Amino acid sequence: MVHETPAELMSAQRIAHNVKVIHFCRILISIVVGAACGIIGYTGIRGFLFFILSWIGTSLSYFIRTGWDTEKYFTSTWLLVTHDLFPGTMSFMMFWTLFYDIVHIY
Amino acid sequence: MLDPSIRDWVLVPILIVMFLQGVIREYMSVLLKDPKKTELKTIESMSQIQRSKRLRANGHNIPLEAYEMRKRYFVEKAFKAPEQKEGEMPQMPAQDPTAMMGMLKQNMGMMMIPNMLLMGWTSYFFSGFVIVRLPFSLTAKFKPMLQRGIQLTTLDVSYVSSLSWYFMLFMGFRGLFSVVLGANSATDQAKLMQQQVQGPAGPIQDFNKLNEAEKTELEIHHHEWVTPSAESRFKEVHNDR
Repeated sequence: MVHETPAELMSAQRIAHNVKVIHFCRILISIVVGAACGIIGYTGIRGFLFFILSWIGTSLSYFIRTGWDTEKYFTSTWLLVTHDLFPGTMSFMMFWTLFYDIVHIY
Repeated sequence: MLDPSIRDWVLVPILIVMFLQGVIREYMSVLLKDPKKTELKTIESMSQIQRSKRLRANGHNIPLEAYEMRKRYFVEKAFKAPEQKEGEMPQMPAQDPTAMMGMLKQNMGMMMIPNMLLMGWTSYFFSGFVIVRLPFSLTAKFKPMLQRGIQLTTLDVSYVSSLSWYFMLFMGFRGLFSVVLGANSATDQAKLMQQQVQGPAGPIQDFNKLNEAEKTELEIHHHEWVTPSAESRFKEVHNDR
């Protein structure tokens, strides 16, 4: 019980900054991948597969950037992977629809 | 496949309107925000409570006399119950809730109303035709929801009406705004709605009650100085040497 790291040894400000950075990158990449998906013309499952691939790629790059030691920079590894699942997916879908329509339907 | 004028006159305008609405709302909230004044007493009480929590969490690192000294300071001086007139105390927490609720309701009104307006505007002016085609296909159950106002029963579920385009934009712009306008902006409504559920409980806490609770915690906390036993613990961990 005395061997645990007290929660106060992590600076809340720095962690918040880290989370903001990964949020920013994640959303930006979702938007760009959505646009790319729409322009290329993937539909249905292929588009979602593309998005999941990009999600995994982004998560991998986060791990590599932190040197595989995520506990040093974030409170949990689960957070790194699932933090922006819903906003990211929604942004992807919106831009995918937009660009798909502009390029292929009209 | 679809008429290009729909793209020019419906798709893009709704997009532009929603984007500008977010930007305008952000700037409005910045302009209309009045500076919040926090009272010295509240801050003082908060930091005292934090110090006491830290003492309880890390007290095992200091010897008994040092711990007792600090504990006595907290219990007797910092968390001393004020023996003032009873009539004065209950008034302050009671005034704050009504002010907070009023402000929150005002904020929610400003957030919800443009949304409702835009939703009504979109469904009134741009109803009756198909506007986008979703790149993915959904089951037939979604048809009445996504194709409101269109009476064709054989039309593919992917072709949707403008109201569902509005909802898609609404969801998707949350992410974009958090990137473009800065996080924690006024436009992140779903987060706002979550906050409002927990919000009113926050600043209205009576710090007298908090002090009492912390004092009780301190009094029942059991202190154990771990430095004398450090040697035996070290031997346990490295018992092969």
